[in-house]
Amino acid sequence: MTDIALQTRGLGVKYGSFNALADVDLAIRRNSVHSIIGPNGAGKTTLFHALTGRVRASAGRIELDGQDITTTSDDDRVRLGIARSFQVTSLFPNLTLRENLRLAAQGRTPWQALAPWRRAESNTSALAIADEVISRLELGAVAGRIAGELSHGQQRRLEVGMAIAARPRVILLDEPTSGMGIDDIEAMKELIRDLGRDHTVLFIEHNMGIVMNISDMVTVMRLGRKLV
Amino acid sequence: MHPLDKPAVQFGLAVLTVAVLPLFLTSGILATEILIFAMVVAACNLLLGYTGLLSFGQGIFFGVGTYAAGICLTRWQVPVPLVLAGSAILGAAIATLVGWLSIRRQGVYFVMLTLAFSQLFYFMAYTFSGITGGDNGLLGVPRPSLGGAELNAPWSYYTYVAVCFLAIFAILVMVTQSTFGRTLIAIRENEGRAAAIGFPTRLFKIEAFAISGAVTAFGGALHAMLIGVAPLSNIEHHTSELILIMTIIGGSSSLFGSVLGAGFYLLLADALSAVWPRWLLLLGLVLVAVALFLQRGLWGLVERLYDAVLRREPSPTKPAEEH
Repeated sequence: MTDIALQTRGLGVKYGSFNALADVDLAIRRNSVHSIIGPNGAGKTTLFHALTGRVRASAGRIELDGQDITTTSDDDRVRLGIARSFQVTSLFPNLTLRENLRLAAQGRTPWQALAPWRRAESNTSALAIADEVISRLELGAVAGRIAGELSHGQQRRLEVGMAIAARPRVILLDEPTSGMGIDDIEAMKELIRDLGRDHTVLFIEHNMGIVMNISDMVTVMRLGRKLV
Repeated sequence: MHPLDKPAVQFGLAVLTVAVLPLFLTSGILATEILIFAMVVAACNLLLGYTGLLSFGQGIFFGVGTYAAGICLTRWQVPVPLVLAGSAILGAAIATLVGWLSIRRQGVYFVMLTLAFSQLFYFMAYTFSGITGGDNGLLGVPRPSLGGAELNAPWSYYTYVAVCFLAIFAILVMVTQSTFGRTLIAIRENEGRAAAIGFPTRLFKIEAFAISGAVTAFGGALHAMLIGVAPLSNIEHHTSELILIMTIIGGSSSLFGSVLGAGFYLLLADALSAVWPRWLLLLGLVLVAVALFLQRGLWGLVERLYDAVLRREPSPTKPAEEH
């Protein structure tokens, strides 16, 4: 097995005639924390969209553990082990925190959920994962609360938790600390560092303090291209 | 979860409805019609309330069930249980097709596609009059018999439909409580995220369509047996509209809301049509009132009343329970 978890070669994405991403070569080492920095509009989020399959690459290749996943659909990539969090919090706002995580854990085996006679509680492993993530995020006190009613910091943590609950090999975090207070940022930093021990973490961040503090590798992007 | 939304409570209310209707209504036909529409509206609710899909295709499935029963019973004398099962399967198949094509677009375009299919199927039924009877429909659809006894009397047919209704309602409650039903809610809440955590959302929507189509066609078949005719009007887009209106009046946040919606509409229509031939105008006003003041429908009103009377403190935040 190679030491590279996720690799791109000549990756490009076009929105119409606009080149949002061009010629990006990346190699993300297994169980490392790799951050992507760059000014707004540099193509960082587009890179994430391409890696998770939300948008199709118009050029180049994406490999997960050496397997070509360039044309694999987004939900199939979750099963292969790629999960992400979003820059703009994207939860199920009227469902409880635990239900949000249960769904995220269930997403790994979605075919099971197609059986309309199977009770959600019968998938004990999804419930166990949800509870495990709740304790990892230290959100036990609000596990039964509706996600839309949580504080911003709690929602951001849940956002990351949704990615963890999918039990991914590679976890992509899009500005996990955006809009967070200082205390929350510190907790998030610890969480990301901790995740790097048993996951490959790729994250976009504007806070240079965090980037320098916890990254094993930094990639700088500008105008849709990789600078360094 | 609101205490009234618990599955046992919902099913209990359905049983209560079945038991109470004969006590208050003199017309067995009206009571039966309420139960038939209640299941059809609940099936529409699975799409509208649980999945967030406003489908004008419900009339297609209802009409398909009606014609399936009409054709099988007037031409081939197929046993009724087989007719009902066959209608449901056919309804599911057509709903799968309509759903599969329609969910390729979202929002207004999705609605327009279902509307287009509704017109398409209407004109197909109108054109192939050799099969469907065209404008006249299929006349002389018999009611079922049970153990040699014909269920021709309205209240005996009511009993037959009531058993079907309770079975269907129980199935729908099970579906909404299942991991499938809860995934549908997630898709309604945030489809992008549902896809990002690994759910093939299209497949879930198609399955919701199939279940909804099966139940609606099943109801359509029962309706043909109720009125003794398989009329062209059952596949008209007006039927789709009717089913949607009942769903919205009842409230799309609970299955029993659909039973309330169907009952309220049909009882009001029955009462108003006796006093004024232009009663649809008044019904329009009712719909305006619901849209303006009762956005969670009659069920929302029931929940509020329950909170006000029994819970003392109807807090705006929902209790910390699992959904």
